Amino acid sequence: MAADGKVRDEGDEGSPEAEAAEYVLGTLDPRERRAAEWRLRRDLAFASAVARWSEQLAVLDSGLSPVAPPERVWRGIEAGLKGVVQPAADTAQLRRSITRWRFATAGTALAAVLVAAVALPRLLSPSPGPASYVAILGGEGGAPAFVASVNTAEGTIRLRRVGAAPPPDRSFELWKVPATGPTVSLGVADSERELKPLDVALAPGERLAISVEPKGGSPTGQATGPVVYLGTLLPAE
Amino acid sequence: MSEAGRLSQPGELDALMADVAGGDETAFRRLYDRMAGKLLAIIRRIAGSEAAAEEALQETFLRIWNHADRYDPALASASTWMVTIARHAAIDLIRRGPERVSAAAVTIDEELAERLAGPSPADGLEARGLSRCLDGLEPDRRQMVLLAYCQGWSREELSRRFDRPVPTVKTLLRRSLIALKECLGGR
Repeated sequence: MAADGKVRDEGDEGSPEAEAAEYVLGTLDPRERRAAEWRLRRDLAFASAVARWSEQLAVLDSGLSPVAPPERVWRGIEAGLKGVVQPAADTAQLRRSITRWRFATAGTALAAVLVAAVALPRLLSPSPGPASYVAILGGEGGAPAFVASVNTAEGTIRLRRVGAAPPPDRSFELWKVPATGPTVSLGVADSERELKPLDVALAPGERLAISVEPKGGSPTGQATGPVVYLGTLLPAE
Repeated sequence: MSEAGRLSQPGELDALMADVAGGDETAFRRLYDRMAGKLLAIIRRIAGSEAAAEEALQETFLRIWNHADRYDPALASASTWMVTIARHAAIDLIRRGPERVSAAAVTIDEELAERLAGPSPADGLEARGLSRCLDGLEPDRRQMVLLAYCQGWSREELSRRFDRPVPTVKTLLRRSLIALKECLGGR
């Protein structure tokens, strides 16, 4: 941002202005889209650019006549508000896996946390700033496979893989597993180090899970493959 | 749906949004009555089927309910903010599904082109401005922008339709949008 409030590099295709325009157009790829939504809530100049583009392109909708939706749409929304959305079969499967894993890993959880307490400073460096929560995601053998650190001030989640890489034709995908309601994807986690914008609320006690998905991530928005690693968020301090 | 037929009054929508952000379900229903018809019309152009459109509309209103506190009346009108949510909900839905058949798009394409060729007197200055600026783009680029905005085409779909590599589509879209902005007198 320049001091006069203009977005710099106006003519540049890589400029925030172009990113805002493509966000409104709807052509960003999933990763760019998440980054844009993250930025939208933190960068007022970017949010203003998005709002301007939305107003300008909305002219293309102006000729449309409203279409009355059937009443069942509202009933579905009401059901959603009350949190009784039918869980997808995948979610149920994920929950079952998690219950199984909870038993399987109960004995090793404490060990994993102790390992992490020793190993964390090294694993997380050179991460700047304090992490608000950490989670050690371990597999059936109990060995840590991922260390996740959530920085709520920055709105980021940092993921460090300490276990095996996913198979070449598969992706790891990170999920938030709330106490109730559907799981939420936090993105694909194929690199050894990932720093992701976090656009959902996370709290200590909630679980993170890693599932094995088709390359590029679950096509359905819910876990489709087996859950291989699981961990609970703990306060970092 | 008599409310939906009325011209939208921005101040009233803003007041409803504030109530919705505070968790007022009655206000939420009124907002739905006011906006669902318009949003469904927009979603239907993007979604491949009625069922998909209804699902996207449902998702749209759940997102509106969950994120109403993020709406900032200083930046955009409530209506525009909701349109952006609706378009993204529809796009999310279709990108999860199988690739759409391009042929279906062609007819709406022509309808759009016709509409843009001669904006009706009812269209405001803004519509005529955008139409003139779109006309200033090369035909392929204009089509890309319209297909993306109106029908939610991805870079990959545009790449196949126009036989250009995906990175080129991205560059062309961005150049076209910047040209539109300059034409519209953007600073």
